[in-house]
Amino acid sequence: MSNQQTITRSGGDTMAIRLRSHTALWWLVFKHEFTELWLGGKVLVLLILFSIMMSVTSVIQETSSQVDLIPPPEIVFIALQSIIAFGLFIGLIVGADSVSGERERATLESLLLTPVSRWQIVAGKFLAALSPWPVAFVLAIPYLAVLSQGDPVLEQALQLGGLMGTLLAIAFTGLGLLVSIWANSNKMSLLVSLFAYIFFLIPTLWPGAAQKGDLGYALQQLNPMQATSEFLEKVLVNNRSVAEKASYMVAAEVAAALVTVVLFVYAAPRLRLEGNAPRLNLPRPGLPRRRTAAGVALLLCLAFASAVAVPVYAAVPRASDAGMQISVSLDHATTKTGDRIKFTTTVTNNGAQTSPGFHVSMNIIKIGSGDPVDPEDWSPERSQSVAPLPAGKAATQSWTVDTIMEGNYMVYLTVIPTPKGADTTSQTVSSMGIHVIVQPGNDTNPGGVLPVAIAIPAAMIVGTMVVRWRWGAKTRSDDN
Amino acid sequence: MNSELAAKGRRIGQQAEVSSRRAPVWWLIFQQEFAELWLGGRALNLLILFSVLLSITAFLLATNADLSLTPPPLAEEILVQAAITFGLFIGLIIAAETVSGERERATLEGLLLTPSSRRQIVAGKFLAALTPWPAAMLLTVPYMITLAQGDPALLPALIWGGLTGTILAAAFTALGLLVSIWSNSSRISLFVSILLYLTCLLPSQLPGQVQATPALIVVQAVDPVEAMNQFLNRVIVNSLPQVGIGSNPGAEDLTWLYLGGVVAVSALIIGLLFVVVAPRLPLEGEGAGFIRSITKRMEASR
Repeated sequence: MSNQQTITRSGGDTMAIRLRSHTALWWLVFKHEFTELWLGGKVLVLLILFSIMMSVTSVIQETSSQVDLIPPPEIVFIALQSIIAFGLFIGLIVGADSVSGERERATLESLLLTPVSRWQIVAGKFLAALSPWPVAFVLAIPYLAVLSQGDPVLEQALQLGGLMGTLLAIAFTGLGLLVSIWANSNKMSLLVSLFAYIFFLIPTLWPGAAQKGDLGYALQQLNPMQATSEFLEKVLVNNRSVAEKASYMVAAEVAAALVTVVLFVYAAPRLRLEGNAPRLNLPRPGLPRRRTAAGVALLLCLAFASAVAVPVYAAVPRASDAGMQISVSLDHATTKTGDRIKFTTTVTNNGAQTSPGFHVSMNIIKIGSGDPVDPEDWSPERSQSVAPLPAGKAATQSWTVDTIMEGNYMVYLTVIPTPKGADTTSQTVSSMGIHVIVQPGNDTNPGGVLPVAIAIPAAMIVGTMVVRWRWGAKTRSDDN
Repeated sequence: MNSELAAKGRRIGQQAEVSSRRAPVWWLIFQQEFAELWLGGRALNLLILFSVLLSITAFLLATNADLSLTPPPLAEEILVQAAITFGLFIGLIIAAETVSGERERATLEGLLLTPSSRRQIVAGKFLAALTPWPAAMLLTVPYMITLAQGDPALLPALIWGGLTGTILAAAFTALGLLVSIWSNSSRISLFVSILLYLTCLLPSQLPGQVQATPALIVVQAVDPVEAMNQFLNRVIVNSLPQVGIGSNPGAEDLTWLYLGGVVAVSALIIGLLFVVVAPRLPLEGEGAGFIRSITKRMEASR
């Protein structure tokens, strides 16, 4: 049993879909879209541009790496970030053009008239739009191999970059397709998709100082592009384990699952000849309900899978020394985020001889997770140098800690005497810990910015509505 | 809708003939484009999204300032850079659609048949596409005042941010128009424009500790977005000795080089548009060099 549906496309070419009982229809749509994308040259041109950009980026990065001695893991991470950003862009563009483009070229109607279900049409187009990503990633491997300079980080970069890039490619290709289904024109579809892309991309360009604090970290974890960037940086550059930073994977996983579920469960069955804005109708009984349940289950599974156990590896160094002793003026403090605590340390030389010069260095550990906290964010001084101390003398240092994140912390300071020579070491001495509990601050209007942050978008929305209403009224009266 | 758009060229032609002695043609085209852009709601929609992005950025920066993480000069710099980066994008995508969009809607022919020079047509469209930028900068001012909290960094941020932002907005609007003139479809025009925009954002991904080698300085200076970032960092943050962050030894030597880079690259793009390309505005998007071959292949795939 077979029948054949022929669809006349713009430009006079034809798409013949032979419908056989044993062939998955989505596969036929996929094959047709895939052929059009790849043999038509559209994707090849995009990949040529992709490889040119990767070449230029790699040369710049390699030059910087050699001059500034930037370690290979950092260069590999930056290259990976560019690969993912451009790879997503290709999928997004192809996805955003797939349905609205057919609409504009007046070929969607004939496609919808075939006995292929709408769900299968969307599935075929989605897979075809996703096809450039693996090729882009394979094209990027030689660049990564050269930039890694034999560093073992390459293998991990390929595994994690492949995984995270694929999740983001699914999310952004699906997003492009969703917008394309709902948009009335190709132009609108491309504009909205590109705007969404830039909206997610711009925060990744902010300097690190702008992304600290509870809100900064929350935004980092919510934005799939930013979270992926953070995750890759922490694991590839900062030697953190995947399990430790698994929370940064959630955004990409949820984005991929959410977009896929919305695309296939909600938008695809409602694919129309004309672009329609989404409406919140309850799913019909039967298959769509089962799909909804399956989609929600998939979403929950992915979210759950990502929330894997976080290893505990805190190990506060302990040391004792007969010569040097350090004491602190504070043993515990309870504060709120945004508060500042001050204390002093006193280093005493109890030995019989003058000590060498030494550093006193601050360490902050989050109790429970054992996460070391970057003292650069918490204090203007992370380390202080002290001149050699005569026997029996003491030196005092002042410290300030800005408590920027909620949690339970231990602050401790370590005396690090300068070793006498290249073939010797020295005994470090740690202070008693200062137990700091940071509670959430209650400043909902930091710096008085909230009224401005709400009023300006609200005023713009109201202004736009007024303009639309008046312009619409004028257009109607002109028509009459 | 299409018939309405198709009548647009004829309408402008009639207006041009009637009022050719009263107002220059570029002004009529500007008025027409301006009304479509603003009363049609497109510019306003983009500015709503712009203000949402700025609100999120400003709230985050204010939270960080409360936690002593981001001093006001750095917050000012980040905010003005975000405003410029996003503001450029608005001008770019509006401009990228203007000529290729007319081509797609078959209204360009009518416009080219009017008794106006092609340069005037491009000038009218260029100015209209540039109009969202001053509005975007004005929207940014309250955020900057709030974040500054009386810090003297506000003034240099406003002056230099406004100046470099305006130069770059003009350059990117001209770039969008150039691509649009060379493209046969809005889809290609938008794609190529965004690709160029993303390329300009690339150098900002390099790690902060990268030293200014001659090769890197050249790359930074010829990339107008990165040159703007480097320039603003020097005049807003590094010029204030009490801040002590982001300082780069010898940075002051390069401050004006980066501003020169912004001005020179922008002048080149705008000059290319008005001196070389606008007088030859074709009915069909013929492309230029490699863009031509890309355009043809992508069109063939349709």
